Amino acid sequence: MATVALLAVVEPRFGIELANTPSGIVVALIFIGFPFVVRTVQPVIAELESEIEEAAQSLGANRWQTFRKILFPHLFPALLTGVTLAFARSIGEYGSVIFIAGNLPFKTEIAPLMIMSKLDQFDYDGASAVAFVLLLISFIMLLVLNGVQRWQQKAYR
Amino acid sequence: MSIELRNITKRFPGYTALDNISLKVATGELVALLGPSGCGKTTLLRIIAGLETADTGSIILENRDTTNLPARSKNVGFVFQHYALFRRLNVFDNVAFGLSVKPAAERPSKQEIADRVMHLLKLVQMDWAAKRYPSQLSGGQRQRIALARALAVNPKVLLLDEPFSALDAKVRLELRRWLRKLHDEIHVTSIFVTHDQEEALELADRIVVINKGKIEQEGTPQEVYDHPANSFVYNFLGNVNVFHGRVRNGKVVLGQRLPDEHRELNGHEVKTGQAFIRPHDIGISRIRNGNNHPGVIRDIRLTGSQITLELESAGFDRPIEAEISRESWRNLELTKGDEVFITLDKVRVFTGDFEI
Amino acid sequence: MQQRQNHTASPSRTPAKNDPPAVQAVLIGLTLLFFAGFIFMPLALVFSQALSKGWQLYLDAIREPVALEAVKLTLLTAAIVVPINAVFGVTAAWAISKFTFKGKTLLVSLLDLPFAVSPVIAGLIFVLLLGSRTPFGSWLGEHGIKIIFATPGIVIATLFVTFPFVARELIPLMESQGREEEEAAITLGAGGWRLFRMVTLPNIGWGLMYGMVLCTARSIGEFGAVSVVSGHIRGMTNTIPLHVEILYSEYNYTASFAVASILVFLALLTIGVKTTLEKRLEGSHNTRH
Repeated sequence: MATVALLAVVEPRFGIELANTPSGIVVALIFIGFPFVVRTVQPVIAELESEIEEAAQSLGANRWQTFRKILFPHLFPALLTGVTLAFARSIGEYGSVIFIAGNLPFKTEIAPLMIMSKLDQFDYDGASAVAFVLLLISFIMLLVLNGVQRWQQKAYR
Repeated sequence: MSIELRNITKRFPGYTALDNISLKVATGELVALLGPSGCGKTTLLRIIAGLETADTGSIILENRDTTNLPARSKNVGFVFQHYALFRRLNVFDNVAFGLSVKPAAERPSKQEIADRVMHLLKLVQMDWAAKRYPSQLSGGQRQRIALARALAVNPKVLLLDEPFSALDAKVRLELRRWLRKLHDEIHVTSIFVTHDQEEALELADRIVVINKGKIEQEGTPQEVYDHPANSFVYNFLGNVNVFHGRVRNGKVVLGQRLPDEHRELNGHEVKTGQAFIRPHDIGISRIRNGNNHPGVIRDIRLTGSQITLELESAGFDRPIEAEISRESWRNLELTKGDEVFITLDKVRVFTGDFEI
Repeated sequence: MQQRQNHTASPSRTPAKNDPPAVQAVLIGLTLLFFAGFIFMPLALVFSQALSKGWQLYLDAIREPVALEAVKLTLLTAAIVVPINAVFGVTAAWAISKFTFKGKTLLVSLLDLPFAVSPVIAGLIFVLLLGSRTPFGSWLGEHGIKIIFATPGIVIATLFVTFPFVARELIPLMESQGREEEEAAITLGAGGWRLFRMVTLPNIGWGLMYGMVLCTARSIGEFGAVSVVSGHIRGMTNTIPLHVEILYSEYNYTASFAVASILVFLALLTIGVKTTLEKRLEGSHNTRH
């Protein structure tokens, strides 16, 4: 699974013909963000002892209950980490989106592209201003990640 | 004197792992550091090896102060709980490692290294496995290799950190006896850490009982078992019945009758105290005499070669456990619910607080 | 003791197999559908577009000198970046997994910084830091050193974007292996470089290679950060992804997809190497006890 995910990391630059629409951007960002979630959750699933599932089933839980009450809470921190990374990456994504978005101001212009075009006009101050907002979001994301990791360490040690 | 520790203290955030420990180990001795987990015994061993540093105190190995020497210059052999074999090297290269990393001037020739390694592998009965990798060996075999590896560099002292605790019960017992025999052959000064009192009693020349970073008692296995210095040692070594009682006028009030022995007690004020008696020191009889207490058998358990009885007796705050041989069990024809008479010889009393 | 389970081939993971066939079929079907839509289709599109006007045009697009320069620069960048990040990654992973210190979790989070920060912003930071408008940048310029809008800038931006890969791969591996083997080597008299070469490096070898493969893949494909610092000088500061974009924005779609197919080809190659390594890596997790 992760094998295919790498493809996305390596070459996430080409979209499908959903050009010039916000939904095109969504498609591109799914493509970009997906591997982050898979790669953080997959090792946790792999490491999960099947005995835990077996224990739940021997106590009378069905598959859905096992998933909802046992597996999901166990995966949740990893899922949160993966989603946060994917979110952060999506906010900053540039390459794949510009091919697909058409870059119409107020419709399909994304923030990183704004930075780019301001840079092309040598408007360094304007570019820095937009970058500052994005950086702020990134740092909040990092703080969340840090919190999740601490919480994970406390809860599962 | 091979190992001398002077006033070793080590603090970790929130607790003191070792509190002013001083200890001497004679050349050729096999000493056990015995204590519950978290008592600081492993930390002490790692400090001797130089894997950790003490806050204060000094370590003298063969009359040389090695306190500030790095671990790799100390020339100690260390055997780890989980073997710590180099997984990417085969058995031969594992054992040869210590010799092959010596500086060129001190390093033996290839042939000498090979001879020494094969000699050691024969010694630990593993010469057939020289070309194998650690992952292809069982736990007991790995631990033998780890021992050979530690011995390869002719260490001044051998340190073993819970060497048998990761092994199956049967292998553990075998390896333990084998190590005792090996030690009798090669006489390298050794310290091993264990939380298993049986292991310490069987293997060691001398036992050092440690609790909460302090030495509670040191002595031969017989000394510490038969004459525990305090309630902790009594409780930690072997099974024991503990009764709460009061000490009045130098006598222990315990159940309806007083045990005969109470030599630890002076003073006449009333104190709370605890009485200790080992299950195998309890006598069981069908006949009443002036010296025993009536009791009722609540349970009979067959524990291998012994029979364990659980008894209830008026005036004792908890059930009494007694161990008798199968033979006397048959002779007395005991069954559940029988009334018997209990003799409490060899009771030891300690005053002061002790939590069990 | 921490024990790792066999990652994929664990025979003990039976409960999932006990699911009714219908559930299994739906889950597998959904996954395949997702993959088909989001991964295979776009990739197939690249090749079909690239070859839409025949092999001759495809080969011409690839053999064009500017395209070849872009390939050269991309490979050069990767060749500089990957070794540096390998050394950095091993150092960081060593520090994080074998020692405890204050602020460790914060450091681990900071490792993710290049993932969390937009590559465009990463590029912008270096432009603001080293560009000709800043004192430091102009000082460099006076001494004839050009970083921004030149190859060094591309290398620095790529370094930043790819630095977590090796460390991220090694930290869990080193943590699962513990410190005992190193301690054993120390008590046997080994130290420093010898300890690292004889004990640590063989143990982390496959993980390190794996991290380096990921690092290579990302440095070849990086677009945003490089785009900002490169200045888009044709035949000079153009990497493969940048060249793809230039061709695309000139409506030269066939050539654009042809050059892009080089990237896809490199990606498939890395995946091949990576799959091989993954199998070996499982071995190094499992040989413990």
